[in-house]
Amino acid sequence: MKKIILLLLVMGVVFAATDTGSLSVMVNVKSIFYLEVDRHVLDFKTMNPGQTMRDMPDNEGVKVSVKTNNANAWVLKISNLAELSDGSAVIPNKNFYWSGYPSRTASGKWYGKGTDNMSLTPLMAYSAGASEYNNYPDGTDLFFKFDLKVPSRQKSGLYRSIVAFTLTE
Amino acid sequence: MKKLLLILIVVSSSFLYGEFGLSITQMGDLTLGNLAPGETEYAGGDYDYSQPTIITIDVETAPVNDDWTLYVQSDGFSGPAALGIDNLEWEIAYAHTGINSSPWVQTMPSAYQRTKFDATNLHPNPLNSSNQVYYRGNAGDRGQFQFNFNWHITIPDNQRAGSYSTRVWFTLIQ
Repeated sequence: MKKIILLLLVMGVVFAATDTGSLSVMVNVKSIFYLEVDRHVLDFKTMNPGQTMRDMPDNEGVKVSVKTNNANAWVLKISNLAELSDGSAVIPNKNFYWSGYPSRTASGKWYGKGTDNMSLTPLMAYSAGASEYNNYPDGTDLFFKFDLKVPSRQKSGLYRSIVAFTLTE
Repeated sequence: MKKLLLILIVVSSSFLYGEFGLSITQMGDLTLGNLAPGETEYAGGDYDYSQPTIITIDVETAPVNDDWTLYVQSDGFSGPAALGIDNLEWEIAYAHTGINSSPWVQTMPSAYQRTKFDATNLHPNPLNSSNQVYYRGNAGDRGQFQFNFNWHITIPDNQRAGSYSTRVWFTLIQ
């Protein structure tokens, strides 16, 4: 009889009522990967043949902001799509320079040497530090300035070029 | 004779709890969508009962002298980077017991009570965490009870891109 009572007590524990169900929850976080340029015109105004204009624009420079949450290494390159030209007249890239600096919070490597010639081939300007692989939403700010030396025998005219910043991961 | 008695005891014990349990009605897994950092998604939406997660509890013939409790917990998000489970919220969208109104619905603090998951209290023994108690039924509350859940998630501003998933557990104990 004692055994049966003991067994009943055991059964009571074994059959404590419980049930469990579960639900799988999923979410996909979108990829963010883009750059912003704070202006779309760089105007050297009117220059004389032989004149040199430095550090344009004359404020902090052209700000390029890179934002990503992909957590991958990324680099920023600079180039121009064509040399400064007005019809068939050209100011060669050996007279057109870029320089700049990263923001104080940037942790990557700046490749500018001070004054580098513009190039039709994209040149490395900046490679992100590991802490910038996912820098969204603050982003990484990079500042660019430009110098132009008009050749002394340059034909008068309105010379244009397009500077391109290329972000790659 | 003793063996026969033992079998009868086992069978009778099983019948005592035969109608005590819960089921989840959901259209497949719950997908909260493709969200940008900083974005908030309302699955089902406030006061939108179109696609809730329905939890049905059946205590029809369970012992009437014991309270019962429904717990909810999550084991945390997994994915390419940490994503705090406290970014996921559940909300009681609707609750009823069928055709007739139920006394216990009126005892709920609010029909739209919202509580965040508290990831810090999920381990090691989440069922002892009082703030994970979803609903506590009184002894004598018998019948088929239904809870409709809506889900909210907020993606942190600096969240890394990728797919994240978690499992939410509902546990009914009497």
